[in-house]
Amino acid sequence: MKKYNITLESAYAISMIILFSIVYITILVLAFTFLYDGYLEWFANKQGTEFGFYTGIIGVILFVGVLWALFPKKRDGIVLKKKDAPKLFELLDKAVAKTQIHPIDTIRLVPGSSIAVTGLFNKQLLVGIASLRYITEKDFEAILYHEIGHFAAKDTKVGSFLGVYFETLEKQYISSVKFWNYSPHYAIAIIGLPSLAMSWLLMHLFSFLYAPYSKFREYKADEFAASHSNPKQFANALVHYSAYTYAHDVIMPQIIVQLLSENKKLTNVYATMTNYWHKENAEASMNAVLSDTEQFKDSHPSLQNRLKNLDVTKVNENEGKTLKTMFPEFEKFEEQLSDDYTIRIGINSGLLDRSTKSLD
Amino acid sequence: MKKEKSIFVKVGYLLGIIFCLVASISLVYASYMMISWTFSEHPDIVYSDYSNSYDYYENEKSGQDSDTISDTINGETIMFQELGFEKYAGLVEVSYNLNVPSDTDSNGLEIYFVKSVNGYYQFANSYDSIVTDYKSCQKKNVMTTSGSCTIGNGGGIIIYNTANKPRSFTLSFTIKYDPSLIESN
Repeated sequence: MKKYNITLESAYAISMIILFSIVYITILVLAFTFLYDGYLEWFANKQGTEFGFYTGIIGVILFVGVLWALFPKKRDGIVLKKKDAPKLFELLDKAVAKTQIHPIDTIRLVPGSSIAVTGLFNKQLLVGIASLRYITEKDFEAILYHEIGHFAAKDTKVGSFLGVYFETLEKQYISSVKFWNYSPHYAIAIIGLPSLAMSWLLMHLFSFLYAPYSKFREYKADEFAASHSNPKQFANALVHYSAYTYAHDVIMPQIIVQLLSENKKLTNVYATMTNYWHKENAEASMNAVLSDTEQFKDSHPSLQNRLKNLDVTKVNENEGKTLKTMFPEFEKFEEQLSDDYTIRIGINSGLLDRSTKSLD
Repeated sequence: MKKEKSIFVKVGYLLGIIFCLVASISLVYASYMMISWTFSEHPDIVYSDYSNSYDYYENEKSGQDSDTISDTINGETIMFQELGFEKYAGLVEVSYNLNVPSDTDSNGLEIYFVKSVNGYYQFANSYDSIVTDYKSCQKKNVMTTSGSCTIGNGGGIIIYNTANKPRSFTLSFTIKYDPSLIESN
């Protein structure tokens, strides 16, 4: 018989899942109750709450958010086949065998620089394509163990559950903001304030409850990576990867926004980044990530705290072949994902409409 | 590498678990209340059953008028009898006498006076809210009662059957007013 070891952390994760499942159901009930109250006032001539005009509108806003959340986001990126990066698949197979987790189903190259894992049933490794040109094979292997640590601890299952609820709250919030923005008069816009306030509060409550749990899961995954590679190797990978992605995520959006405002775009965002990765920027990024302080609502601990947890005080230079050498045609992938990143930045900066799919 | 969690972390997790469970129970209760309200009976809004049945202007010179209504209210219903005048620069005193037949049940039969028609609308839309307009002269579960109340333009008496069963009553009333205060068009 399988033995289950319920820790405080897992009990906390279960209680969060219970709470946000009930929050989801309550939002559904609230939306239907408000819609019904509006129906009583507008169409049935029956006694409701007396505020049927207002509750009906709020019910519509909530209902739109719930319906919208049922449509899943389009998955970014390119699913890799073994022939695209045979060495990467070999590395992954080796790591999976060593850690004895169930095999990872999919490797997906995604726009941007993040390396992450996701999936409730289908285990996916997401590799931000911006990291290919800088991160070394050895560093990537250490980071891979960190990501496998999340799979081993079933963090992605908890994250997938909670992700559905968070997305619903996020879409409630966006639909409330849109109602506010597109209302012809403030007297009408103000009707949507309760749903705006409710979704804002719930989103912050979610972050407040999830952040400490997420940080502890990161520490656990760090420890898992350190025990399967070694603490110094993982710390080295973590610091260099963080510094490069920090520089990328600060520099490239500025360049992209500038070009988009001139109706121009880069054909390969990630290749352009190498021009800006010189000594001054590298040092500035390193200082920035190492001096960054941790905020309560951050999902990840600060780099300082992560290094302290690993008992590592000194970081070496990163040397060796970069990850791009594992991809025979890495530039082809970079160009394919360049527009996706540009569109994401354009939407976030307000230069492009949220429905933009292509820059051609 | 394995590190023990500090006592603060353990307390933090425990507090978090308690918060999640208490919040979950509260939300389940709130959902239950909303579902109950949705599936509860929502009576029709009856603006006035007798508003056109009585013409005070016939005897306006006397400064006093009387009438009697005998009726049976089937199911949960609100009846409104307008007693004031549309254009009257003052207040009208209403003396009333309500009787429920001794062989019937009065449980759930309530009467309220409203000083203006707005009070009736407030009552009809949310009879359980705090509306001072009709609180002063209310009588609940009455068998036999009498009294008086002062109303203004468009005011009147509400007879509310909260029970989902027929309720019979006889209401006789007298209104006293100053004919000189009735405004002509």
